[in-house]
Amino acid sequence: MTKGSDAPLSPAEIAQIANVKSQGRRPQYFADPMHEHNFSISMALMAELAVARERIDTLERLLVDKGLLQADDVDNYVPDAKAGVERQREQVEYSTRVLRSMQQQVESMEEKNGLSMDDMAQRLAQTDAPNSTPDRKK
Amino acid sequence: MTNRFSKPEFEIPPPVTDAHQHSVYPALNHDERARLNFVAATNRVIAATLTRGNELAYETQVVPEFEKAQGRRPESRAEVRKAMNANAFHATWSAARRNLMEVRQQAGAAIVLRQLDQLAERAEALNAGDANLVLDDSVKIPPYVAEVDHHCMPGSYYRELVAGDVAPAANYDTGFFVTTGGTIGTLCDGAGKSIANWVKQVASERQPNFAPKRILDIGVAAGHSILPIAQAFPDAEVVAIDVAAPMLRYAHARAKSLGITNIKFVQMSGEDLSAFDDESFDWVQSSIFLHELSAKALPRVLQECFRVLRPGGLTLHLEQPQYEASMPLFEQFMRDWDSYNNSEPFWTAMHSLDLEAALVTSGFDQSDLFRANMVGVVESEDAGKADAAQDHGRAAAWHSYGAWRSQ
Repeated sequence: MTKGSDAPLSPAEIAQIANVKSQGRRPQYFADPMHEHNFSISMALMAELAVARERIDTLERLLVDKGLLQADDVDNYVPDAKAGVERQREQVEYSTRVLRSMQQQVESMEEKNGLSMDDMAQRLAQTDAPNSTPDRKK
Repeated sequence: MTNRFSKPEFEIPPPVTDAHQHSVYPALNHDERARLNFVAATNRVIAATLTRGNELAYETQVVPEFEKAQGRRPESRAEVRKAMNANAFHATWSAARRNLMEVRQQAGAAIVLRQLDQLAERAEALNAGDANLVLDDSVKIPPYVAEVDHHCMPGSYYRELVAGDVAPAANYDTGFFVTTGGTIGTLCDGAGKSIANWVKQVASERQPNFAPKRILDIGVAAGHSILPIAQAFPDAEVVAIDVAAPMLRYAHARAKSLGITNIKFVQMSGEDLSAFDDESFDWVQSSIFLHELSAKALPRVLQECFRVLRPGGLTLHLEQPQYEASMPLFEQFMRDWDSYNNSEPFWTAMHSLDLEAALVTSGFDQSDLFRANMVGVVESEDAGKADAAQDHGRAAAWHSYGAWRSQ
């Protein structure tokens, strides 16, 4: 984008330009570059979670202001048996989703003969087609 | 040693909605405010509860390891830095602080990018035809500004994406309140107020009749520090210069919307004040500016300051304290963090410089030099307090290095 351009920036363009790095080599804080990304992504998520929390707080306050809730309704809310079970089911789903990578590593350690994609390609190339069809009912 | 269960003592930083909403202040939506509130809150938590861990790590981990290997304690800032950068606590603390700055810059940039034209129009509505804003296309952005994104602000002070752009200044303005956590006031004018108070109260002891008629401010940026000075000396003509047009457009519009009209904002480099006659100002100054100058530019600026200052006039430059032999090595290292981690490449050299010697080289007499301690002045008790001990290099506690020009 150059000086004098009149088209407003789209949200995607704004997000991209707002991400632009400052000039010069960025300091690295950890020996492993992947650790560097993990830390930065965690910090960004920390910011986004703070935003989501503030938004929820705004909603609660608006609902109180409009008389739809009492100030302590949310804090005093105790789910009935049905809602309690539903929410715990959602909590379990949530934790399962977040812990995906660890679950996959456990699966991987359980695999006796985990093949790389190269090995798999070689093995499948040498296998007769009918026998290599996966059992879809499994 | 504090009791680990004792009540933590730190001020809660004010929400960004407490920042003074002048006429060119950018519009902030709910989530944009929340993002900036997060930055302010996290900065305060890091400063108040985590930063002291660096000194603990230094004394209990880094120095003992260093002594084991070298048979002595670290003896230079560079040795402290090298050893500390290898320490897991310090590296994590640094990563948190750096990332927070990046989150702040990303948040601030996104706010102004979505309203580039509106911001430019709002500034233009206040600026059009006003003789107090003088832009000059021929002023070159010096390399020490063009090639450095100071404090991790991509595009720095000067980038223009649309005609009449003020976005870098609007971003800087919102971010300034957030990163200072309210410690220098809702208009971020605590440094300027402390200078104005000092000149009114202390300088009058040296020169009882000091009544400046013409004041020059160099590197005015968005004008945060010069406004209270112009207000404190309403009869003075203030000239405020900067190389960056977006800052000047915004600063002028902001000042005007706040009812301050005795400042002329001029696009000009502090290295070349040839537009001004010798001895034509009563007071020449800068505020939180010298550390953004290269080693070559800084003495040129000081020389020009001397030249345009009348005999009996005042020069002063407000900065974070210089590194001197009396400052503990560890404190020097901590104060130096911005140089390596916050895109402030001149910070180390500038803060290592003997500024008093530099002032003498520029023409002032040794006997006319002074150094003043200045603490951020805020308008109310609620506006947050500086915590100098816990936030090296960031706190609202400065030194002013200056001189009176001999009569």
